[in-house]
Amino acid sequence: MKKLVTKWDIAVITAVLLISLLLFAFRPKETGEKAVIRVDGKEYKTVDLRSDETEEITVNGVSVVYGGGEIYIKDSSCRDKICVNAGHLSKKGQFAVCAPNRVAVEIKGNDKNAPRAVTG
Amino acid sequence: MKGVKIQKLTVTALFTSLSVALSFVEGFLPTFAFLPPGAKPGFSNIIVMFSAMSLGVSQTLFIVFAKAFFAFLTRGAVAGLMSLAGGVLSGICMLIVLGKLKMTGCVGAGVLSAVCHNLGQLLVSFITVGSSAVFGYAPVLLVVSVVTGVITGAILRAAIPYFNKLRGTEWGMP
Repeated sequence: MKKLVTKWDIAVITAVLLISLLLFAFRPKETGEKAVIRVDGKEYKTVDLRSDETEEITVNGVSVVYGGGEIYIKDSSCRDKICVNAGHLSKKGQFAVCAPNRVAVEIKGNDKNAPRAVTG
Repeated sequence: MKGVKIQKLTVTALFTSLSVALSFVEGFLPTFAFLPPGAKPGFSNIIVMFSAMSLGVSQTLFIVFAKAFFAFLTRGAVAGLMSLAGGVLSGICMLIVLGKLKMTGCVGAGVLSAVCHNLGQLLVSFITVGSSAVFGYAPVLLVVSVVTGVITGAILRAAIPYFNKLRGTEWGMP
């Protein structure tokens, strides 16, 4: 019987932690202005997050609230509520997924053509 | 030789029910404070790991398929697919790492098993959700895999003598 921790065990753990650190370091950080709501893998709606008023839509038993620079899943009919626990999203690449209801919300990057500010 | 065959069959059946029971009981555990939502300790991986080091290829894959079928029946098609993808990936990985190479100890194998399991599940959620955004969750899952993998690996190490007593030693010790 081998020791509890061998050098190969330490190598495996170090490698996994290193990969996770690399993935974490290169994650996208920009804030997004648009979010895509997907149902069954197909795009259902693209919403603009920049308006100050919040709006709510319900698809497949998942209620999504967006506006004021963020988007979040308020409630879902699924059992484990992983999507609700994902919290409020505002950065590019952030997402919330409800696998049982097959609904996904993902923040997209800024639209380069859209005006950021309008000056008089 | 016939006795060994029957004994292997019986032990496979016993391990199959054990792994199904473990994954079912795991669902009742409260989500640990240090784990992100959806993460589970993966205790049934212990059974798959022991099966990979002592029983054989077909028996290990049978346990994995039975577990996925149980997840499909109790938690629906998506959960069944996730269990299947994660289970097959980590089962094959364990057959290579514990059955053939035999370089890592229980802890390293546990970590690899957890990583493969999560990778398979991520792939399925990538396919069902249709968004590459799910991979943004990968760094968190990898760290969690290390924690749960070390725990399951340590439990496996402690449980090996008892498993051996259970299955008999007629066809060699792991």
